[in-house]
Amino acid sequence: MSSFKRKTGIKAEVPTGTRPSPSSPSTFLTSTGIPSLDDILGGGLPLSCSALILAPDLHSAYADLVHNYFLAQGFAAGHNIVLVDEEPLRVFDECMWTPASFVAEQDRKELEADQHEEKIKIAWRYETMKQFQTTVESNQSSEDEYCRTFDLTCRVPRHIVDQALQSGQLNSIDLADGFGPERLQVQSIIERIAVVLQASRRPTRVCVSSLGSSSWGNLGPEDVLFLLVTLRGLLRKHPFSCAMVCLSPSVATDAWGGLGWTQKLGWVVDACIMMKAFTANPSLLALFPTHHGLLQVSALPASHTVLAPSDKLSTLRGLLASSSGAGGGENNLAFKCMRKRMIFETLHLDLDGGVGERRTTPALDTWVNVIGDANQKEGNEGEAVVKIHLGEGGPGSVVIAPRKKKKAVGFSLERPDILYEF
Amino acid sequence: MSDGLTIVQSSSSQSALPVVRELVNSLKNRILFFSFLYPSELFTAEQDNLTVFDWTDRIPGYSNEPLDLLENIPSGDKPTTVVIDSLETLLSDIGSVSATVTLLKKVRKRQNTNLILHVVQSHESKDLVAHLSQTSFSPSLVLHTAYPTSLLLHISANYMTPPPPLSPEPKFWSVFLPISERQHDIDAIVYGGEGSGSYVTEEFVVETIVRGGQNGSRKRRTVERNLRGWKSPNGFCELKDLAQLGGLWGSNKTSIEANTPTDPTTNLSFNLNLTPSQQAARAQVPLPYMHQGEDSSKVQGAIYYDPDSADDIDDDDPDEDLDI
Repeated sequence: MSSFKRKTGIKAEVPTGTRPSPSSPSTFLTSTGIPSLDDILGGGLPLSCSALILAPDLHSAYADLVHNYFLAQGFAAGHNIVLVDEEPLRVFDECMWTPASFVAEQDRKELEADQHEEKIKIAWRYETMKQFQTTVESNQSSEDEYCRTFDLTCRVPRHIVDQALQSGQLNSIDLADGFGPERLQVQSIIERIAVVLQASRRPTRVCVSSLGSSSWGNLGPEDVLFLLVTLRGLLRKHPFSCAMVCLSPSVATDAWGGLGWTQKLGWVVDACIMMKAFTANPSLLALFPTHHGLLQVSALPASHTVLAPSDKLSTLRGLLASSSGAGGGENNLAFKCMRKRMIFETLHLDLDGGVGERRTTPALDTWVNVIGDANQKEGNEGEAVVKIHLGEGGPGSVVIAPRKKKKAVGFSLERPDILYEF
Repeated sequence: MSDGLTIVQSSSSQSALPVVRELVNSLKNRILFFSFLYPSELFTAEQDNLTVFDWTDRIPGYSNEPLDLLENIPSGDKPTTVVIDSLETLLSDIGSVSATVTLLKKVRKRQNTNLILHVVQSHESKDLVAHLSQTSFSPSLVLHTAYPTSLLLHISANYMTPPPPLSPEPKFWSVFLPISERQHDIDAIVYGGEGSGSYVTEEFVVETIVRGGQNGSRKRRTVERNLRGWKSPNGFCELKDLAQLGGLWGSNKTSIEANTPTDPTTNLSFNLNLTPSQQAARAQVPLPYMHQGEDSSKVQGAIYYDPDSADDIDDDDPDEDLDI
């Protein structure tokens, strides 16, 4: 037993609406408003990190949805918000909010009743197994300080927005109408963000809702990269701030930015996810009917650590769970937007078998004996004749016998030269 | 058709001007036609609800008249449709994509104003069309894109995927969508060695994307894609009514019925058949190694023993010092 004890440092004050990261106590995480996205990022978005959301599909606006969740969570947690958009007030009004509490109670009771019923039906040997889950839910109450349960059918009450505007919690930066040199416009926006960050005492969220849209002027790839890099530098200087930038759909593709554009974007921010929606693609919609799009994670935040804590902590990505298996890999991720909320979940191919079944090696559990019969000839000479008969008895029948894996017992003798004496 | 924004896309291999003509002629409300490239007579005859602005000679740098679209659109209660016949010309006049999008956004925001835009796909206009197709520009959109019929014939011949009623829709779209985005491939099909050139404008194929959407449900926005044909005097029609694609419907039926694999013994110069007596003799020949598989399974004698938890497994053979 080691007599060294970890010196617990002076407990730093945890800012409101944040919590320390489980893997590195000096990092504070803040919620993005969507519990499954928090799980993918490793518990939440760390402070002084920037996140980039790409949604290249032109016919949907999922990046805006994620951005609104981020804003709403900022409202709820009492953080300062800086929004860069051409119509900031409209964006504030469109944020979602928590439902009225009695409705949430009813939903939760129904859910518990369902789960209780299901428990009775499952056989006893499976009781210790967890229910098959494709996503991570936050089972805290809706008034949880870290991450609130938002309901897409509710909007932010007007009085909360007004109150926040007056108290200075909400700051907005309008994009100027003039189409001057774009680099200067980007620089002036960065300066205005810096002013707000300097003055604020609470944790601040910087939100850029649609970078690259027409109100930004004719941005080139260099201007976008310049903004993201200087924003990241600014966030590092102000440790209680974080940022979420959403790119306009036309800007998020390689066709606009050149080959390797999406990769470059992943390098200049701390967290980058791409949501490839299926909205206008009938073939993908038919292939994955329960989801609305695929999620590709290009970068994960690793502040104060070398590796991203999401590798160990994320249940959705499933790296830790599969590390004991043969050559673990990440789960495929997808998202879907339901009437009341949006979730990110794992994507699995069909389990039905047949050509849809995903198997790289044959299953060890079954084996099939091949029997050739001299009297019957089917097909040409030399062709393998495979007949599988079900049922007991008779020559050339019952062939499928389960063969259990042989128990591998290995032991090494410490003194191998001892002979057993009978 | 839509109450908002309609974009009609031509390409270098297929022009969609007849679609614009049809859309303009079918409108009943007031039409403001801004003609930047094509003479307006190409589209419509004089009507009393039509106002034509012939700006084909307003070229920035050569003429002093400004391109003031907004001032010429009276704001009022009458439902108005603004038709711009050549968006890429407007783009090159204004010079920047964002300024064009901002201008069109202001036009769109006018009450009771619908927009019909025609654009020829090119490298410069691709960005502009991407901006205009986003949901942030307009929640509802109807996007028509014209393709030559030889594209469908090419896909059906080379990818074995004829158009939708004949092949399942997801499969067809998964083949069609990537090739439709590669304009140079379509040009190669039409203008290349085996292509027929683009002399045919009476019949072509139109892919329509309809994005409906009232502002109420902003999540469940359905986007529909379908492929229809266009026949010159009549307008939209089914694909099977196009004469050029007739071959697909006729021959495909026979190919589905002829599903049997081709028999390689049909066209040989020597005889591979056996007479019945020869077949009987052949059936009676005992094959030499027929029992080999069975024997090995009987003689194998492997013991499958699952060790219990109470068994101790001793690898030593207790009989090893038996001397028989």
